Amino acid sequence: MSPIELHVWNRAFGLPSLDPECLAAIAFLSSSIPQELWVLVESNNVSVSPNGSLPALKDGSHWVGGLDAIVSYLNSKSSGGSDIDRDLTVLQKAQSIAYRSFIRKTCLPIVSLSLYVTSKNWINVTRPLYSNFLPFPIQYEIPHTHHAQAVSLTAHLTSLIRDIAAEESRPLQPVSTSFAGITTTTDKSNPQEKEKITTRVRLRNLLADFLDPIEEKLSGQNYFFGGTSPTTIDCLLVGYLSLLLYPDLPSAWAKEILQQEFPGVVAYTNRLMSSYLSDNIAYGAPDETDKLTFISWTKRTLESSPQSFGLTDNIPLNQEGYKTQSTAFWVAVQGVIGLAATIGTVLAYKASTTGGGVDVGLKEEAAGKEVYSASRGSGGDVENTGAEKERLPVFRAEDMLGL
Amino acid sequence: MTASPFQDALRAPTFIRHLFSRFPLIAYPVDPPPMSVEDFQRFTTKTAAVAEDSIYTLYSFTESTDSSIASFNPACLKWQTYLKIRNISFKTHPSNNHASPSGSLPFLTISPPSDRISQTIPSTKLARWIEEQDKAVAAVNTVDTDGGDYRAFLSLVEGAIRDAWLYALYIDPSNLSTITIPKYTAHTPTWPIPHILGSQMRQAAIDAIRKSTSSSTTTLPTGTELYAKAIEAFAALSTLLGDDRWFFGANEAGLFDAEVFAYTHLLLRLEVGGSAGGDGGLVEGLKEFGNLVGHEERIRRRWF
Repeated sequence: MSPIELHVWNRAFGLPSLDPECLAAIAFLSSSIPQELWVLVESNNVSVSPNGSLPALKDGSHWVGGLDAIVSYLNSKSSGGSDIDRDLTVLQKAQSIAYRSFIRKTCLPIVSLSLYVTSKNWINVTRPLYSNFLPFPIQYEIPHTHHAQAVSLTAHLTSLIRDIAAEESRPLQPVSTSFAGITTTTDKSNPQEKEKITTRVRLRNLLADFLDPIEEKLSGQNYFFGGTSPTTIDCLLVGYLSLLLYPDLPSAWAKEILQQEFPGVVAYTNRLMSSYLSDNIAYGAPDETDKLTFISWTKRTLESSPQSFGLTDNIPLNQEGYKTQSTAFWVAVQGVIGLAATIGTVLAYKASTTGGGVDVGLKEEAAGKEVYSASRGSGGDVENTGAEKERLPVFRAEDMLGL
Repeated sequence: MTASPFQDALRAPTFIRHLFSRFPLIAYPVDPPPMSVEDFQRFTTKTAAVAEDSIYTLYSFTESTDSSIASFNPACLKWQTYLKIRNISFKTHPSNNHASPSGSLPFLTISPPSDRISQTIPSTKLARWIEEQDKAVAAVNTVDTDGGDYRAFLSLVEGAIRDAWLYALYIDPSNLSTITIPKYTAHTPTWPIPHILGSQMRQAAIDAIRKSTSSSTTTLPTGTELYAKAIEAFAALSTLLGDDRWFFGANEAGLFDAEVFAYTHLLLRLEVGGSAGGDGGLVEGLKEFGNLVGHEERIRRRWF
């Protein structure tokens, strides 16, 4: 039996993937099923996944897309044997569902802000990263899409983004321009320093908004719900936290704040990361059909284009709905092209039967005249420029003032 | 008298003077703020302002001025319920977002009997305002709204359940045309307007769902997936409630109870049909959780 394949986004920042959900899926698989039963495939190809997003799991010919679906598929496959949440109480399971939604809602904007929207990090680190693993024409489209998503996710943080950008663009502290002995040199007298502190405080509050409940819940325990082994919520947390903690970024506010203010969370992340996101993961190569190639990418882009261009903006009840929607769009496009071709043929036929010769002659004549007049026109312009200059100032400012 | 050339230079050109003489600029007197019904009554009957309490009016998506008729919008119903839980007497007023200073409903206006200037409180500041009222029942519900569990479960209501609600009411075509459009466009029933507003609301709902589906995917989830997530969320809430009367084991209902009630009440009472109605739909899924249905009934019996 071939091992299960976990398809994810490429490795980056010393982590097995650049996407928090993919990292969470990797952590989940390494903590739930034995190492030899699964391989990690960096296919970067979202078209393999039934729900259009990575991570995706390939078991034989069966595909499962999305972390939550992967978790429930593997649990039902092993009939609970590999369920890492099996020791939780009913209430803890409910909490697990709630915290999953909480982490995604509050932490994804922070990760997006740090990796994609903070322009220094995006330009210097994240954007070049994509070029390393994506083939030529695609390396321009995918990072752009991810960046656009990150921007829309952080739309509510606009003023903070502006502050970070302002702080980045500011030059290093210049030589003091104050006259010696006249001004005091305290922090208060320095508006730049003050602004920097405010930005930092706001970023800290943003992180605390997410991390305070988590730290309160961890409270020195090894795992989220205590116990001796990780649960799904630990996997999700390490996926998101490791993307805040490990990347080496030029604007490393997330890492700095985490290390200064949340040592408990840092220790927790370090511990989980070294056990479940470490280097001893077996990598596999994607099958020919699952590879991200220009052809598969084009095919997918075309299939999803009616939706991504907002031509058919709808949420159908099931996946079949998306397919019929896309098919209907392309049938309509074909219909329009077919109709245009038919009309064109009919017109051409008419033109050729009803004394086409004369028409063509007339057209040629007309075309000749046009060319002639055009050439004369352009010549005339050159001649006329002098006269035009004379005539131009019709409205003189003096006239308007009533002098 | 002949003007000196200097004065002449400063004069406006003839055509501008003509223009200005034809259209004289008039500063109209400032319009007084619109008179409320209470003012008008006091004005006509000339009764001295009886030492009455301030009049609170909650502007929301509703069909009645009776505050015990539930709003059909979850956000409005949540605040309506919470105000009732905290025993603040108020009236509701049918309105729409164009009336709101912040662009979203509900908002509360306070018209003190003495003067005519009323104060407006948007929904974002309502919770704080209620805390400051001494007439309000003292905070019996002492649930920590900053606690981790509270915020985690709140994110379920505001995430999965809200998305499924949006899908069921705004995107599902049958509910959109039978419930949403008639209710939200009751003020402007003239032919093209409900349809235009309807398609705008639908688009807004699609955008809201796109924004809240957090995973890094370009494709939107399907309706079935949204319903499944919401039912999972209801299951989690049902476990959280357990056999308690109110959420988080409180002695008295609180904001979170109002939050959950806003959705459960509307899903159970609004006769939501279409994809959400039938077997395996959202409503049937919710009815599975007896304690949530009981919780809805408790609040409905007592305050509505």
